[in-house]
Amino acid sequence: MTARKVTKLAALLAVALLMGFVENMLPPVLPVLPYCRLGLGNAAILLCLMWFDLPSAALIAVLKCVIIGIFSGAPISILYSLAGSALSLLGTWLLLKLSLNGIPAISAFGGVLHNVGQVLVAILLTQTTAVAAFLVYLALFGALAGVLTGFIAYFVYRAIPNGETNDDRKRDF
Amino acid sequence: MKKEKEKRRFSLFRIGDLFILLIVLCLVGAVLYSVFAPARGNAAEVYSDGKLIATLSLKKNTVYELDHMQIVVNGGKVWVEHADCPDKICEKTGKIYKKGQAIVCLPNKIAIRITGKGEVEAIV
Repeated sequence: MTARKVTKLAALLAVALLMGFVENMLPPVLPVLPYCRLGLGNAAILLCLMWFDLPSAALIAVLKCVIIGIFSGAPISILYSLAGSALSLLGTWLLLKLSLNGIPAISAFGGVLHNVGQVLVAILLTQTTAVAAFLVYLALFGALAGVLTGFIAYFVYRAIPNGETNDDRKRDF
Repeated sequence: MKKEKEKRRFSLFRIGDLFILLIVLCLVGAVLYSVFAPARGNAAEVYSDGKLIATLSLKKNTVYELDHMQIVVNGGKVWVEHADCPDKICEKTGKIYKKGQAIVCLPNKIAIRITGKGEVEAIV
């Protein structure tokens, strides 16, 4: 890992964390589902996946989950977000590899998987299957939020195809 | 410039998006179904020991007191506020408002059921 890459990853992580913190301060997007977040920080992780590779994106995702979990004062939420991020990262990576889809659609898929992962953890932790009743709402919300983050990631990628103006894209991809 | 000649690796939309769109449409369908399929009821029947003892309109906010529990109707929803039963299942059931939903208190043999019958209803 070059110093250049470390710096780029750090910048992406900073953006992801900032988005996460700001979102935690804002009121919920949908009052009906107060635990729903847009997850704009995931645009940074998606961008990381587009610029670099799966391990780098996984690193950013894990750090984001842990740091936000610690600082938001609810360490249990780390488990939820880790499960969601892991599932969504794998799904997104797979679709990117297949390259049959546009970025917003891939991101929507990731958003659905993110919430599926969280509901699975909720079922495991609370031992109540009633939580699954929320799954369709959460999955749909995740898809819409994913489309939004996908658009953001796509246009950032188009403006900055490599995270900088100098070209070392060939080595990174 | 070299950069502009290179073919972009990622695109905004591709043919495979139809598949994702299908998934999302299924989700929309599932959400619509679970929101709209069971119609809102307009009355709550309260049974004690299998006998209908009261019919509460959901359109009127009331507090209905029984020996063992307090039933609250507010904003078209019914829930048990307090109950003296040991398990409190009825309280934990939460608010119900759709046709066919029910709150059951086994120790006190009280059941509350939402019906979709009209306003004109004999109160026993």
